[in-house]
Amino acid sequence: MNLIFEERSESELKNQVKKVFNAVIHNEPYVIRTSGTTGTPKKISSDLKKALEKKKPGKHNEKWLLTYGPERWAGISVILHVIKSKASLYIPKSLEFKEIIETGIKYQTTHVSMTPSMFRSLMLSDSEQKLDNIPFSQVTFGGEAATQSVLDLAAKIWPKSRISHVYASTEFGDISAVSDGLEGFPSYKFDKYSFTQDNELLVNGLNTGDIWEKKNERYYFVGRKEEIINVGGNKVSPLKIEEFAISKGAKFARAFGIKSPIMGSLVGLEYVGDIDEKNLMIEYRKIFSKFECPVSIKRIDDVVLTNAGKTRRLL
Amino acid sequence: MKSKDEIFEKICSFIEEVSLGNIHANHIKPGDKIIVDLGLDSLDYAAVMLQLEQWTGSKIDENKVNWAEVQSVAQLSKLFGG
Repeated sequence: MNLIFEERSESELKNQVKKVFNAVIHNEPYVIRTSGTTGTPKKISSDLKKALEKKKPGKHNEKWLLTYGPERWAGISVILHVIKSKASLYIPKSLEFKEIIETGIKYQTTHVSMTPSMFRSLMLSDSEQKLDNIPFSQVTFGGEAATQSVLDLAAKIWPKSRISHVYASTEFGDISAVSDGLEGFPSYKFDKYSFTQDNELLVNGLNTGDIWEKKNERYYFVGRKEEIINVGGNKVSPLKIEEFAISKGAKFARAFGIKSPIMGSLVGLEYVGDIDEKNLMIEYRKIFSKFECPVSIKRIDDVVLTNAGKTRRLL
Repeated sequence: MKSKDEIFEKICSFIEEVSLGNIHANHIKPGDKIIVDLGLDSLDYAAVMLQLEQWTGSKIDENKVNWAEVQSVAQLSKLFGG
C-alpha cells in the first residue's frame, strides 16, 4: 500500500491519516465521530482490524483520492479499502476543494468516494473546469442521497467512469449500493428491511431516522426524519425542493425549515447560481403545491457544508 | 425602530411579492383584511409574517397573539410596532 502525501511537512490531515494507519497496523481501538444517522453526532470506538477483515479487496493499481476527513467513518473506510487492496491513497494538503482537484489532476487518481454536496462544491471550486482531467474510473457517492442531477452530471464529466451510489451508515454499515445510473434503489434491495407507518426504514428492527418513498419498484430517499419540513401538517422533502432549484440552473441548493408562528414551519431556500430569486419563486409556484414552495429564497455566494461534507439543513 | 409608515409600506411590498404581483402595493389600504379582502391564503399570510420578522429582526411569540385581532394590514403593522 502506498500513502502519497501532497504536504511534505507535518499537517493535521497527514497526522490523522497516519493515526488511522497505525491503529490498523498495531490493532488498536480507534475513536471515530459519526455524523449522527441515529441521532446527534457522537464518538464511537471502532475495531479497525475487524473492519478491515470485512472489507472486500479492490485492485492494487487503484489510485484513490482522499476527500473525507480520516476522523470520520467515510474517510476511514477509504483508508481501509486502500490497505486491503494494497492500492495507493493520495492525500491533498488539506481538504479544501481546490486542493482536492489539484491532487487528483497531479496524480491522475482513478477512484473517489464523496458526498453529492462535496461533488457540487468541487464543481463550484473548479473555475477552470479541470475536473474532467482526473481520469476517474470509479466514482462512489455516499453520505447523502445521490439525486438524478448528480448522477447525470458525474456521468457527463467522467463518461468512462462507473458511477455508483451507496446507502450506508456508521451504525448499520452498507445497506445498499447500485451502479445503474438511476436515482434511488431497486425495491428488491430493500426486501429484507421493514418500514414504520411513517415510511421510516428499519434495519434489524432499529430505526434509521431515514424516510423513504416507493415509486415504480424503486425506493427514493425523502430525507432525514428531523429534516422533513412540516408546513401546517404537510410534509415537505428538502431534497425535492433542492433538486428542482438545480434543475432550474442552481449549482447548489439548500432547503430548510423556518419556524412560523402561523404554519409551524415554512420552507426556506438558499442557492448558488445565476437564476433570479423572483423567477425561481415563480417557477416553484408553477410546479409545486403552495405549501412546498419556498417563501424565502436567497442567492448566496458560498456553500458551507457540515464537517461530514453534507448539506446543512437544520438551523 | 421602524416608523408606522415604513412598516405599512413594507407590508404592502411583501404582499405584492407573495402574490407574485397580482396585488399592487399602491392599491392596499390600512383597513384591508389580508385574507378576506386581499384574497391571500394562510400560507401567504405566514410568508408575509416571516418577511416582516426578518426585516424587523423581531420574533413573534404565537402564544401571545390573538390572531382574530391581526386580520387587517393596519393590525399586522401594529403587531410589529407600527
